[in-house]
Amino acid sequence: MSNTTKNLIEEIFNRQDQQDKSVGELKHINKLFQESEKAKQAKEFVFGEKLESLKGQFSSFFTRKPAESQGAV
Amino acid sequence: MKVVRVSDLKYKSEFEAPFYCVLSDESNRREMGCANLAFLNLELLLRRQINIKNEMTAFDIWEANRASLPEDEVQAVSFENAMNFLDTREIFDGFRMLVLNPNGMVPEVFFEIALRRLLQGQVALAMLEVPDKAGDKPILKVNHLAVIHSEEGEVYLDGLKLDLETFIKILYYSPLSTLMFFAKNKVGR
Repeated sequence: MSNTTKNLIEEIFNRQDQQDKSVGELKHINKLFQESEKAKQAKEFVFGEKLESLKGQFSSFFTRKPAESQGAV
Repeated sequence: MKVVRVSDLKYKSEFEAPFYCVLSDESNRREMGCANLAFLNLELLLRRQINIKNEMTAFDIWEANRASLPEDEVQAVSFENAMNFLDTREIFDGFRMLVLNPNGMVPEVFFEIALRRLLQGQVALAMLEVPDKAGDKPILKVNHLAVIHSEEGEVYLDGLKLDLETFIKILYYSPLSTLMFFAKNKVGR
């Protein structure tokens, strides 16, 4: 195995490790914060249609609906 | 999500902000309090915007910040001293600040402003209450500072990639939650 291939494999594993840690931390934060009534109201508005053009400029990771994120986060 | 060691801060090209956590070189304990980390991340992100080019590494900035804080607050900075720090540091003179409290606004206006500013690349200092344990109710005391910014459509909290639902839960957890946006001053205006 060449050094370039070895470095590439190591980089992929490191990136995967970082992603796993990030997802774990995000899960932890989600559990930590109790959802307030105001948050529920805000979610109804934000995940409605009014902000579509603004939200369309963000990634699908950021803008996915809560039901879609339950399995992944 | 960048977790680095103190010595890593000396190599600015390899370890660009924002950092999620800075660890001591001696053990795994955290080296920085949240405000120290937030101000380091804030300054490094703002320096990028105003294109300051000098030889200061993240470590130099962190050391300078430590030197300007009371000795007993190097690990954990009080909210009042954090605001005093913001008031006296020269770099912030180059920015207009807009302070938003989502709980004091209708969501339509808050999200239009906040999301638009994040898309424009503006950086926000978040003043938050974080519960001690999962599910705890807010006690109405700000106890956490963090930096929120956006790059290439992703939104980050001190370098941790956030989704919109988490963003909402954090911001609306306590009525005290506040975002302070920093917009670069326009020359000649």
